[in-house]
Amino acid sequence: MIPSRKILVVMLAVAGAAGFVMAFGGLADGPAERSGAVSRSGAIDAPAQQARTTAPLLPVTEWTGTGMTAQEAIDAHASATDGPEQPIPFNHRFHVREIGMQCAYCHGGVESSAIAPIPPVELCMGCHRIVGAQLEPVQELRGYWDRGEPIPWERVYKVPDFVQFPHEAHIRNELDCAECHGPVEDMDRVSKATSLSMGWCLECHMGEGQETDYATDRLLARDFTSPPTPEGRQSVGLYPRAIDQNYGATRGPIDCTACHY
Amino acid sequence: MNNGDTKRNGMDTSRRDFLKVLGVAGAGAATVSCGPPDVGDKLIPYLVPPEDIVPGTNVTYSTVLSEAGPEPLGVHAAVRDGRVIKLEGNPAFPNRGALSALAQSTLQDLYDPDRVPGPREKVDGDWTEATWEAAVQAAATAVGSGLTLLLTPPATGSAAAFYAEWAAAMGAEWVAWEPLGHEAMQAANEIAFGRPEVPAYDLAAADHVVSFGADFLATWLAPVELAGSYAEARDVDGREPAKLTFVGPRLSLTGTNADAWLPARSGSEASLALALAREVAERRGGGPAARVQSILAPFTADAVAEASGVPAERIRALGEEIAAARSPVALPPDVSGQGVYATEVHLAVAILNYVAGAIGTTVRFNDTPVLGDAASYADMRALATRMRAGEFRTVVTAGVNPAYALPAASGFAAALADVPNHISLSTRLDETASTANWLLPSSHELESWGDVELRPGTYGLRQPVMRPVFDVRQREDILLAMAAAIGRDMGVESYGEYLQAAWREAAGADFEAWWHAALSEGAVVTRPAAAAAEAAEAAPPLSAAAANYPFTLPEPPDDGTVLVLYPTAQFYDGRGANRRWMQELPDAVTKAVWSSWVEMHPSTAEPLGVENGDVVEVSTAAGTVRAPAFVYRGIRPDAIGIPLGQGHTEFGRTATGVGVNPLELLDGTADPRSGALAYSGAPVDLTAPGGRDRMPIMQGSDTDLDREIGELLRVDTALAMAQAHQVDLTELVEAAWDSDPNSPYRWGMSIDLNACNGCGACVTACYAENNVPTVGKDLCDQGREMSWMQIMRYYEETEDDGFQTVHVPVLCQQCGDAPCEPVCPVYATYHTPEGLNAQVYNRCVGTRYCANNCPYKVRRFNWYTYEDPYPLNLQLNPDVTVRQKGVMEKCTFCVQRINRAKLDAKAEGRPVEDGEVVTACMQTCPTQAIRFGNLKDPGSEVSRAAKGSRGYGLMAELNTRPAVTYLKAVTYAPVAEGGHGAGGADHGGEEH
Repeated sequence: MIPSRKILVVMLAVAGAAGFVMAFGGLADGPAERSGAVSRSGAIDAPAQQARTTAPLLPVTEWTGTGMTAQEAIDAHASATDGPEQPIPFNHRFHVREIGMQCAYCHGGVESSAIAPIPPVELCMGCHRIVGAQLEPVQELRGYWDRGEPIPWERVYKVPDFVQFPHEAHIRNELDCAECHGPVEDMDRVSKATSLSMGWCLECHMGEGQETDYATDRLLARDFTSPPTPEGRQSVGLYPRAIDQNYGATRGPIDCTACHY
Repeated sequence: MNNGDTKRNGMDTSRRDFLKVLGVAGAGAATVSCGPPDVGDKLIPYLVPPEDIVPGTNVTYSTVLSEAGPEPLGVHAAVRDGRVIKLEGNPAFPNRGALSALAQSTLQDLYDPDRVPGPREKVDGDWTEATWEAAVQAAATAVGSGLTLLLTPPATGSAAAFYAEWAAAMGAEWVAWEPLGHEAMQAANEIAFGRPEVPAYDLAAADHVVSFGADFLATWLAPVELAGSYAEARDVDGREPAKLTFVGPRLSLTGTNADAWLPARSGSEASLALALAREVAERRGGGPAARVQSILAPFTADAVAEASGVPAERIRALGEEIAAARSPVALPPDVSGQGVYATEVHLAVAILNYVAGAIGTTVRFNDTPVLGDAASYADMRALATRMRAGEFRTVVTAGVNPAYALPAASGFAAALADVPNHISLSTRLDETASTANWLLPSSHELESWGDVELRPGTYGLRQPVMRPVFDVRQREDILLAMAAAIGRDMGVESYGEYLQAAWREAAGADFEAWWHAALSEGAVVTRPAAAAAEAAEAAPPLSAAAANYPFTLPEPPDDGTVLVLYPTAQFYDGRGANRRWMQELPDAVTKAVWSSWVEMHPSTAEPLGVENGDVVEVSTAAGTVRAPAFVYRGIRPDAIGIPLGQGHTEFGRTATGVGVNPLELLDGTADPRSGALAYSGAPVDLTAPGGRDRMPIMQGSDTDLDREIGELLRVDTALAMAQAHQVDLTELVEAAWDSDPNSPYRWGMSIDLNACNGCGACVTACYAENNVPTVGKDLCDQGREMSWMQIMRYYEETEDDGFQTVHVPVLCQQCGDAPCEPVCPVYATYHTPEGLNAQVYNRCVGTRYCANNCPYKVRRFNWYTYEDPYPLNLQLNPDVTVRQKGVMEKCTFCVQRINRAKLDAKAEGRPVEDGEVVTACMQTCPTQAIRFGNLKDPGSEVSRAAKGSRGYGLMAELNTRPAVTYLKAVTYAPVAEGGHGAGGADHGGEEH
């Protein structure tokens, strides 16, 4: 069993319901919603930003719309064939290119978390209480909200459980979301744009640009007679180039334990 | 027999069947390629995001646990996406950031699949689901009809006031009780000093600790706090460490850490303490000596030598040492020394402390720990009598398990069964709850509000760190609902409100801000007014009653064997028994798991013809138990030792049927003065009925076979070496074949064996942090345990024909030149540029060559896929891969924590600082024996520790260049130091 991710999803669902009670329930029922958080070292974190429940102004970007209407966006999602069909025909192209929303507006927290959070239903409702209320998908959204149910979105990207992928490190290094997720601003329905294979990861991490299956490469190059010295290992290609220092470097680490532990 | 099996699809498919199935399915299977599985999973967002929470990151909450062991413990609970995944000590509390193994395993109590999932009614002997409304109404009606008893654990702070108020409002009687209480000590201190209290012991200031059987490093009073302060006193760097002398019939975990053992006969502790007091008084003189001179006069060393079994010259020598000590302290016995005259023993030890000048210095009566009022064993027996007499129509039990923890001879369980209404607020269906009519399950401490008074005026605040796992409610809220249901208004809607009201006065004007700050800033708060009122005399005078107490000289012993019962660090009073981590944590003395045992001296075992694992039958007038023998030099020939806490009949799937409950051997005699139960001292008959019982012992050899794995130094040698010798770390850091000169880090660890006492907290913390599976008794028996850390217990002979014990935590040594690496055909284990010996699970194909080539035997192979039933799996750390069948695993110095620190540092454009990476084992260690950090930084704590003259590498002669440096333990015992003496540290091929 490698259950961790699935459990996380279940936990999110449970915690989602908890969050609802936390916002509206009494003190004795609510978990520690008033308590502060302390960091690992025991020091006190700065008060966490509480902005995500009070919707900030929509960010304006340089996107230029194509004049797509909301109904066209809904139909385009429904007729698209790539990627899984979502419970609500949410059109990324419409929201990003036509309206000009930034990724982190909905997927906030990606800059400080290993995962890119899926927006809470409340965030959708921040606009859709008013905007597009007559549209059928928005009414479906409203139904989830009124029933107090989170929306069971279909997963598009998944790394295996034995891979620890930190989103925040990639965001901090100013990688564009599109580097891995493709031109989402042009997708009516999001589909997987990249393979997420290890060789694909290493294209960036090794900085060579060549398509290579690193694991196979090393296996094939295995030289059982070389002594296990740094030189020897380099001669069989285990360390193909100087190891990055893990800080101040532009490329990511290529050490196995950077992702596998 | 409960084997605690967790393996999935294990033995039920034979290899041949498997191959048959494979043949059929092969074609289909071939189309399934490697790589990430299908993306069909769901992504479930929050409906409304909780503030302060970023999905996928940990939020840490401060809280306090009072039922996680003998002492209240401040914790930081790491919560990931609404679930607690790790507990760490809160440095603001007396436990100073450390936790015991038992406290670490509290998570397995929280996520215990055997917790009662919701209210239940017993209908025709079967539990049926009920609604909370019906349950509360039924309970309230029963309570409201009068003659009600409320039975809880001892409560302090707001809870104590609440229970009293509730009892008053409901016309009920409230009794607080816990097993393994301190009634004898309290009674003795009342006689001696007019203070029925447990004093504060300041071991850090002591230079000679004499323990009369108190297992203060594992189970007695406040083991986490005391282990920490004793480790301070024991520090050998630049000073003479404190000496520990253990007096008693059996070497407990604390006893194995002692420099000297006076193997006193069970029951002779009082006279021995008085004889020591007499020796000290003679040498020290002064006022205290004069006051007690008359009662001490008969207790000459010669007079008690025979009764105690300790030679007179050893008594005199110890008396002389105590008299010469600058700051000695004597610790009274725990239950292993609690016989029929328990109060006398405590009183005698108090008198010894008095004449030794310890009262007011190392034994203080101000700022004493607050334990809360508790009924004694005799009180509970009296309650049983009253229950039988029909004085109670309804009993409400909450958080106590008297049906298990009181001997049957007390009659309590039988009397409780006859009470018409028994309402249990237990979290689980234990021996007591299973006899109830209604079950209204309480929430766990981690799901509850509350406060705990630690010292007079100093409180810890408890807050729920997550929503309840099951349909349960807070204990106090259930009681409130019961009161409301029959119209007894207590003025508050919930216990949270009650708690806040209790603190409103202390908070001042802005309560909300104060409350928020109090909870976030470590959760320790004070009430200055109360603190002033409680300021008490540190050294109250000895009373006339004590100074003239009619002690009598002991009777000469008969030839019989006596029973010694003792709690263990794993189970304490039995509460840890349903936690798989505790069942699989080897006992510090026997190294056995999933078992009970009978410890006996070789000279007792020989005439019976038994060896380890042979069944012995132990009988007293009250009962008989059968358990496997464990032959142990650390127990007197006229005593046998049996651990408490096992042998549950109803407690959950893990605990039930494992081991025996030795309370069956007790006839329920109580100490007449304090009402304390006589746990020890009963005469027993031993027979060997034949046959063996499985008792997996997780250590192959009792000695290190002179391979210098567990190293002991004499104190004077250590002090001399400290002057003479410092180790050059260059070799350790740079000479490793694989080290990368460009890497800024070489991660390393130091383990100070002089601080380590073998308690096992690190082992359990590692289970929690690294998703280490438990395997059950069968596989433990086959040596297939999965623990990444093991504490080896080695005996070393001393020149006076005794032995010393050294506890050696062994984990992956992260060798600079690792034998496991070159033999891996797939490079699944390899050397990282930072010196880690990495293990890539997804690359491993399970050849097990690495484990075979590892000289330390620290690699663990997943022979099966191990599963924990829901909701235990909610505890899994999402930062660590859950391994599956066919994969090798081992310690990687908590590489997930290293990577986290590196990410944080990189975000700020700086290197990782010293102290930023704290491994799980290091974090929880009560004695701070473990240091971790960057060996390339000469100023790092680990570098400084590893440089010390006591440092050595485990089996370094193999040229493995381990990254773990052990610091030799020191002892005052005359150990043989071999031929290599002051040569000191060696990390590479030095001659031996």
